[in-house]
Amino acid sequence: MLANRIIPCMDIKDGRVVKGTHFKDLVDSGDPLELAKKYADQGADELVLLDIVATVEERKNRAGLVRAVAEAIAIPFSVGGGVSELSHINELLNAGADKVSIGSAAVTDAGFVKKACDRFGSQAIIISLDPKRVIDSGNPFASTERSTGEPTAQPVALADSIETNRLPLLKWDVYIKGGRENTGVDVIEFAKKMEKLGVGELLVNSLDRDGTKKGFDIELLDKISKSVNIPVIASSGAGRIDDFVEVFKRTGVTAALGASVFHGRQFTVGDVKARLKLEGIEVRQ
Amino acid sequence: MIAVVDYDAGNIGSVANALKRLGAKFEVTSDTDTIRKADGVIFPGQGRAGPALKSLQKSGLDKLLPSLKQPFLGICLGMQLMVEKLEEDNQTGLGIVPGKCELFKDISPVPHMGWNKVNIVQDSKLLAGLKSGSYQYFVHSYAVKTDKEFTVAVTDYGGEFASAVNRDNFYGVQFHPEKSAEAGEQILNNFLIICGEKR
Repeated sequence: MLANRIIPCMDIKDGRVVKGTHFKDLVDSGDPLELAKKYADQGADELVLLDIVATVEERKNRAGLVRAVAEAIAIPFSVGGGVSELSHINELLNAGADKVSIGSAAVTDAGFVKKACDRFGSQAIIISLDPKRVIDSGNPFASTERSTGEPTAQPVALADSIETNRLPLLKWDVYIKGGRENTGVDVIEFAKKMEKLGVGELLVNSLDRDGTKKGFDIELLDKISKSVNIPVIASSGAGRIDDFVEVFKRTGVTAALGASVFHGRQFTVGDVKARLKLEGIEVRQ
Repeated sequence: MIAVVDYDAGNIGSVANALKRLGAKFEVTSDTDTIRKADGVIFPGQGRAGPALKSLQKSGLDKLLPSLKQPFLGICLGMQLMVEKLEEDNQTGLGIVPGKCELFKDISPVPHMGWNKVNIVQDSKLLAGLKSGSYQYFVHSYAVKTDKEFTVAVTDYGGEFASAVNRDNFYGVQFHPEKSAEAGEQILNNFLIICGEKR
C-alpha cells in the first residue's frame, strides 16, 4: 500500500519563499534551496515549488533554482506557476523537476492538458485548482445532493421536493489567475474531466481556506476524492497537526500540503508524521 | 569509475545528481568501450519499452549489456528491460533475468506512483543493512514477475511484484533509489561498495 504523503509547499517570488493570505500580504519566509534541504531532512515525501510571479524574466531564474534543488535533495518535487506551453514543462523537467503543475491553463485549455499528459506521461502532470464556495439557492431540481454531500436516499414526490429540496446547495467554482477570476466551472465536473484527460494527480487548494490556518476544506476534499480515482493532494488551511489527522481520516486524499506551519516552524514534517502514525495512518518514517 | 548508460531513455539527471551527492566517480556515456571497462554499470530508464529497446539495438548495447561481468544495476525501466518478455509495445527484453513484465491489472490508479514498502525476501549485497519494509519511491505502470531464486524483494500493489532482482552480477530495482531519500541512498551506496568504489 502506498504511504500517505506530507508535502511542504513553497510559494516563490523573486527567488524567495513567501507566504500570504489569499495570495496577498506576502511575507518573506526564507531561501527556497535551504528550506528544500531542511524539509527533505525532516522526512518530507515530496516538495511543491510554486512560482507565483511566473513572468518571462522570472522563468529564466526559476530553471536555475529547479536545477539547484534537484542536485540538493533526494526526494521528488513538482514545480508550477504560469505553465501554459509544452515548452515550459519540458524546460522544468529537463532542469530536474519530477512533476509539473498546471493551474489556470488547465481550465482554459483542455487540449493543452491532453497533449502534456500524452507527451510527458500522467506521472509528470499535476493539476492545481483553486475552488471557492458558492451558495447556489436556485433551481431545486438541479441536483439530487444536499449540502451534506450525501445523495438523497430516495426520489421524493414533486410536491414534497419543492418544499424539502429548497436548501442552499453547496458547490465550488474553479477560479483562475491567482483567485481573481471566477470561471463558473464546477469543481467536481472539472476534476472528473482532468482525470479523463490523463492527469496524474490533483492538487486541490481552497480560496476560502488559503492562509487562514482554519483547517482543510473537508467537505470539498471529501467530495473530490470520492469523484476521481487519481490521487488528491489536500492544500490550503493547515494550521494544526490535528488538521492533517482530520483530512486523512475524513476524506480520501492521500497527500496533504502545509506551508506557513512549516515555514514558521510551528511544527516539523516529522512531528506531523509521528502523530499520524499514532493515529494509525500509514506514513513513511 | 561507474558508467551510467545513456540511451535516450529519459531522465538520467537524477541518477547523476545522486551519484554526485554520494561522491562517486562516474561518467554518463553510450560508448561501448567505456561501458565495458567500467567498474560498475548503472542502467537507468524512463519512458516506453519499445523506443528504449530500439535505441539499444541501434547502438549494439543490447548485445553488450547482457555480456558484462562487472556489477550492473538496472533502475525502473532499466530493470524491466532486463527480463525476457515485455507486455509494453510487445517487446523481447535483454533476457538477463528470466521472467516477464506486465501491465498492472485490477488496481487503480496506474501508474503506481509514490512511496511503497520494499519487503526483502532474500539476502542480497544490494539491500544489505536495509530494513525490510522500508519505503522507496515508485513510478511505473508495468511490473516484473520472475523466478523466486532471482527475486530479492517484493512490493504489494494489487498483488505482489518483484521490486528488486538479482542474478549473478546483475541487479535490478523497480523503484527510484535516487529519489528515495536515505533508504535509496543506502542502496546506491551498497552498489558502489559492490563495485569496489567505496568501502
